[in-house]
Amino acid sequence: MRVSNKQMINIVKADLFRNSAYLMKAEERVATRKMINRPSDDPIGMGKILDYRKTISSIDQYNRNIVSAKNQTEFTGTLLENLQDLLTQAKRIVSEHSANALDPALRESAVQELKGIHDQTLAIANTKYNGNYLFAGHKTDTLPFPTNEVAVEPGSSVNDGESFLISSASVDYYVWYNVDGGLSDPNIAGRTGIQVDISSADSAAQVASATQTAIAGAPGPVFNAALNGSSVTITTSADSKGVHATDHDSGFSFYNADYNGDNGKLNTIVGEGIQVRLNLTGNEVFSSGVNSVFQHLKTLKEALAADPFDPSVLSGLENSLAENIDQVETAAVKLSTTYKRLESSETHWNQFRNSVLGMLSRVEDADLATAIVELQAQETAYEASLASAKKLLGKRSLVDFLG
Amino acid sequence: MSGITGILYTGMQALTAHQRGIEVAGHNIANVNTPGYSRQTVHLKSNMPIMTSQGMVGTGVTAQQAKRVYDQFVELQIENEKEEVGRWDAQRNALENVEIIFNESSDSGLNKTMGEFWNAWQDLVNNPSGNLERQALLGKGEILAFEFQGIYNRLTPIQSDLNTSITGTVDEINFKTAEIANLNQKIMEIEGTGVNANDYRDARDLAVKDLALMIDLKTYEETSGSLSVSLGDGTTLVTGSTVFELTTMINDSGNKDLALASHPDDSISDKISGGKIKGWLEVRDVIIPEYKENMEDLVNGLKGVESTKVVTAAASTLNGGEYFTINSPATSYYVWYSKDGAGADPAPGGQGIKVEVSDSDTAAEVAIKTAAAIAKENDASGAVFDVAVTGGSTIAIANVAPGGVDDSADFNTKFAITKRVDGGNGINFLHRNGFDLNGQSGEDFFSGTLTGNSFALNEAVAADPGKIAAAGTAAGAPGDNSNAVAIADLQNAMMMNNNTSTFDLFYNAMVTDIGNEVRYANTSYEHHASMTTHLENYRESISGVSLDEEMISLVQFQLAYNAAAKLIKVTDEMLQTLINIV
Repeated sequence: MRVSNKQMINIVKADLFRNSAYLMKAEERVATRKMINRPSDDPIGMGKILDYRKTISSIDQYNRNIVSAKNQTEFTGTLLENLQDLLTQAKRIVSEHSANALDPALRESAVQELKGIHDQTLAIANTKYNGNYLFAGHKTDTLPFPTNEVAVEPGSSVNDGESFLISSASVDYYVWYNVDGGLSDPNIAGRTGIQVDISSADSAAQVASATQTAIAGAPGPVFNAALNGSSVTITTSADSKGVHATDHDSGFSFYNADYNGDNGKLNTIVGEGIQVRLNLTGNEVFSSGVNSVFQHLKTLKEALAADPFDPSVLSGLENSLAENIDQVETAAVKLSTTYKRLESSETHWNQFRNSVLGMLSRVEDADLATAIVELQAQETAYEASLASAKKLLGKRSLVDFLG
Repeated sequence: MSGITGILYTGMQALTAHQRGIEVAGHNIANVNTPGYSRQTVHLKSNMPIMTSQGMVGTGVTAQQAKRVYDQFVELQIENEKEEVGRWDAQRNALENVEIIFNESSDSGLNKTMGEFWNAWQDLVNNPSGNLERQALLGKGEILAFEFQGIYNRLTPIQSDLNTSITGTVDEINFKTAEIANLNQKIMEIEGTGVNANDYRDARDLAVKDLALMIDLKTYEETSGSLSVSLGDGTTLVTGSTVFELTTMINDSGNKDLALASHPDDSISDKISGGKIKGWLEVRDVIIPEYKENMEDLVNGLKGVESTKVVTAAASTLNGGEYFTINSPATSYYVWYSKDGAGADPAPGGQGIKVEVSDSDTAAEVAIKTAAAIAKENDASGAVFDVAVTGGSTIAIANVAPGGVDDSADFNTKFAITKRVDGGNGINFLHRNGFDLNGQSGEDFFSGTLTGNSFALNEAVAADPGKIAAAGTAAGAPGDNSNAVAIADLQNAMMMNNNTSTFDLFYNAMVTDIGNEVRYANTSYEHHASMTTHLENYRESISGVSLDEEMISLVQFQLAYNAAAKLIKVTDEMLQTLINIV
């Protein structure tokens, strides 16, 4: 075969270009420590990498969900423990006083103790976690067991549309203030409203008086409202349930045992399509209405404070409180089951994450030793092609000999 | 002529012939690096002998015309390979730009953004009323929409850059065809006088090969020596010294197509099958539009609804496969239209009721057919709906199962005919089914389209994080997270490719496709480039100049030249001898 000068040059050029391209690729792998630097390096591998990365990102999110769920569960668990202690104390008081009539001074101190237990129980029931009521179901912005809806301080602190709640046996009423004719009925769902027209210049006594008039004059309500200076006392004439005397000066203190939340369940995602229920509703822990913890505590307090004292009222309460304690225990068991599920999910994800990381690394990462050896090999090849180019191009031709 | 003068004449001819040989060798040496040059050789031929009384006497040598050494077949093969080299080189360069857009590193890219978007929904699940979580979700949604739109928008400049490349190359093609025509003219003139136009032919071959890099060609050499050049499909570019110029025109998509300058409105782009132009057209008109469509599909899948159409008058506005949904208490039925028998069931496996309509149906006829189809379905599956056609084109659908009327629609104004993509239950659909912090029904989460350069969060939602519909019921707000759970679950739902692929997998497959496409273009380019190198080496081994060989020729001709001079000297001496005798 004839070999022309240009042919040699072309071959040298092509070889050098090819070897330098290989060298660059090998260099890139060492520099980035990745086998795949763009989709075309390994299209299938790239698809896998994206899938693994997505999986890892999901697992990290599941783990975040689990950590947040564990925190909430632990927090709730602590509350339930405290609650259990409080109720056990109350039960102890019942058994102490039902066995024999102790002297009034002891009963008096028991009432004080019960008041504390009641307040603490209520505080637990109305605990906020992350800014949300923990035992309110879906109504995380509604006080699940209300004490007072608005503390109305004398005169000027009454705002437009503020309301408080009073209950008859069957219906909830809200009483709301319309200051200077300024605001419309807040329209609280499920309740019947009683409007009190006041002006911002009104004194506390005037507000109380207006409130009394409004309640007394409203069609339907079965309340008696009595005025005492700046205090208005509301009692129901149908039965004695749920309505407390309220002192207007220190705030319309009100509570009834009704649960204001709902039975909404809150789930968290702990895996693809796997959800774990997180929350306990107020109903599940405290019950509502006549069977509620608060109703029982209230009844107990009233019975101990009653004069004359009737120990027979207490006998039924011991069982009722025992049922309440059972209920709290059931809730606590549910919670610990949830916690176990969360923990096992966490373990699973941590192990799985490691194995996905391994898979990702096997596809994406360059084995540094191999990559460096490869780079060395390509460097040698490139240098060899340079050396051969020198030989080929620098060779003496016939011209040198025919001078 | 014979005798001593004959010898003198022989010597002179030998001098001339070998001088010619040295000239040609010199020309070869001078052109050792000229692209496209074919080495030339001089053929020496002995002259006609003359018959004398002593028998045949030789009369010396003549140098024939210098001929170039070349192989027509190899030239044609190179030309063909160049078309492919040009095509794949153009394609891989353009595609590498596309690849960069879709490149996913570990800390950026759409895959990551989508993951974060879904994770933000899960964060919302953990705290459905949290303002922080809601703000974060809006942020992630905004970034997601921004990235989608960004990728889509970055594809368009690649297309318009290709337009510029195409326009520039058309000018180059016209330049080359003009050069070929000019060379044809010269070759015809010179070869008409019986002389070989070697160097012009080399230049013409080179021009044809350059042209082949840009566009696919067929060439044919006429007996006159001129070369006819046409496109692969036979459209003539050059015949003799006449050139048919190409030009560009704007096609329906606003891109540049090729056309003959004589018919500037008739696109010939689809006739081109090779060269850079083909590579660019392929990327611009086939590959990028496909990616854009995939992105659009992905966005539509995410949103869940492609288009909502209110049928106002005649049935002709219905398209095959369009449908609307009616609800019984337990199940959703979709009613879809098969126009003139066309259009496949849009949601296979669902509770579909098919209505066969035709182009010529009036609105009233469509209403009657719809009612009949729904009633027929009732017969088969137990009556669920009460269908009445009232007032011509109005259809009322009532539910006879417990739960009352779910949907009654006035055909003239109220049939919102909704065409869904991939089952349709995308984010917007679910979001509208949920309830926001205030217990109000959700609105669309995303709005706009990629084609309209408007894909973004729905402005109303973007302005107010409270409007994110995390709750599943109106009463459930603010603590209910069931709708957020449902939307977060979409990440792993089979929403794409006729319910066979998740969003992530769909996108991953797209990136893999692009990788494959680039890879294929690279491999094809390398294959054809190495074929070309091989063929060009082969051509060089035939036509290329070897300096060694030329040195040998020089020595060879020089020796002969010296000998011929010696011959003349000897003859001269012989003549002297003769003259001295006298």
